[in-house]
Amino acid sequence: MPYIGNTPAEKYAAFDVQHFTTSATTGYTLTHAVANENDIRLVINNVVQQPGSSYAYTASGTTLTLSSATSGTDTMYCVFLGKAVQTVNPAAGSVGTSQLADDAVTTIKINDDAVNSAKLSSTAVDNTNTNSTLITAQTEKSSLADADKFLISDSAASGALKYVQKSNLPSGGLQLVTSFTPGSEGSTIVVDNCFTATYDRYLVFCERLRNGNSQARLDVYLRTGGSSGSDSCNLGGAYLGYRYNNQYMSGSINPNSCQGTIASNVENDRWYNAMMYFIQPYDSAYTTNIQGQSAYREGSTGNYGFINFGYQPDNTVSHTGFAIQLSAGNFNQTQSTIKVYGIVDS
Amino acid sequence: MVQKKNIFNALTGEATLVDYTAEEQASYDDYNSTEKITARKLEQIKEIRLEKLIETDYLANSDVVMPDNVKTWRQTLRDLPANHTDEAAYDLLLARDADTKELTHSVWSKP
Repeated sequence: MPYIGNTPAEKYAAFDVQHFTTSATTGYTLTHAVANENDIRLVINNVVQQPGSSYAYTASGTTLTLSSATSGTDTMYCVFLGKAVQTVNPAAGSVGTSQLADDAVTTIKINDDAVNSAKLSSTAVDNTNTNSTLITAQTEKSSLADADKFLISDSAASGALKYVQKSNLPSGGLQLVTSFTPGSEGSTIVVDNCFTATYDRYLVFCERLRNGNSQARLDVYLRTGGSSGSDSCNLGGAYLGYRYNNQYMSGSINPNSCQGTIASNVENDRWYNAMMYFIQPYDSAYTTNIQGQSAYREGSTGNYGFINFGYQPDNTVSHTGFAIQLSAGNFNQTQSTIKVYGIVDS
Repeated sequence: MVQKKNIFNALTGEATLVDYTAEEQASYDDYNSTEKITARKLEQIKEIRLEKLIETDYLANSDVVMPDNVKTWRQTLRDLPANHTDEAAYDLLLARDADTKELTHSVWSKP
């Protein structure tokens, strides 16, 4: 027969009954939660009991409490009069926003991966909502490729997020070609294969040099031939410096000398440093140029000073490395460092 | 003793320690020979002498009278190479105070 309205969710539901195994106690547990004792009809030994705290029993939730204890020979059951019928589901699409209380949807009610980008507002992910390990938890890449990208805030577009490719980053500056700590012996330190066609200009730091046992002069000379490495005796030039107590330090070498002085007479067991620029050392189309400065404690006077120096070959040769050499004794090299940088135009 | 070269290959990162070649060692030994060391000490003495003489050169101007003791001292300085001829004498002339690093030989003191 046709009818008006929604189809009842449940057409028939019987009252539920619970039979108890009795004992000498006043407390029992109900199989269904109730609001109070009026939701059940309790029968003991076929006698209906009167509900209420002043009468035979009370009930709340699943706790049934009798006013006096039963015995093991009693029969007792209850009929659930007001039990909620759990099998009734709301009709599909019938629960709207107004049926949900504020904050009713908890995290566990949301399926994993269910929140997609469409469910996030354009400003939802801010500094507060990002994990501090967002970057550090990622896999590290130790060598950048030109196509690698960096996330930036574009100051010309109200801080909009954009990316910049590594190939578009400013590239000027010093690129470390090599850095090493010489061994603990020797009076000459040679660096081969540090000059290549990659750079036209190089900056070299000779740091924490120390002469072990003798006052000595420190010289520089050029090398050719790459890995096979041979000395290139083709320098000419001079040095001029000044030290404490108004004393000059100077010297010169003829063209095509093997080496040029970069520290004239260094006191032994004193730290000292030198820095040098090598201009066009590799390109045989041009003449190599060495110029730089050192500061040290002069051996004969114990006065501190510096010298500037400049050397240049009298020919055009492709130089692949250089060496620094003590005129006497050995380096005390355990903490010395030689660093070679290639200079890149911006 | 044979000197050594620390050779670092920037391409491979390999460092090797090799002996000087015979030619390099000969050059090193020559520079550090007693004869060359003595010669460099004499050069150093001459440099110091020059500095000392320059300090009193102004007394040779026509409008100034150079005291006799200064004249004598300057002559002594000029005669240093003639009167000091071996390395031991050079070492005495070049000796310096351990703390102040000032030259200690009396010949350098201007009267």
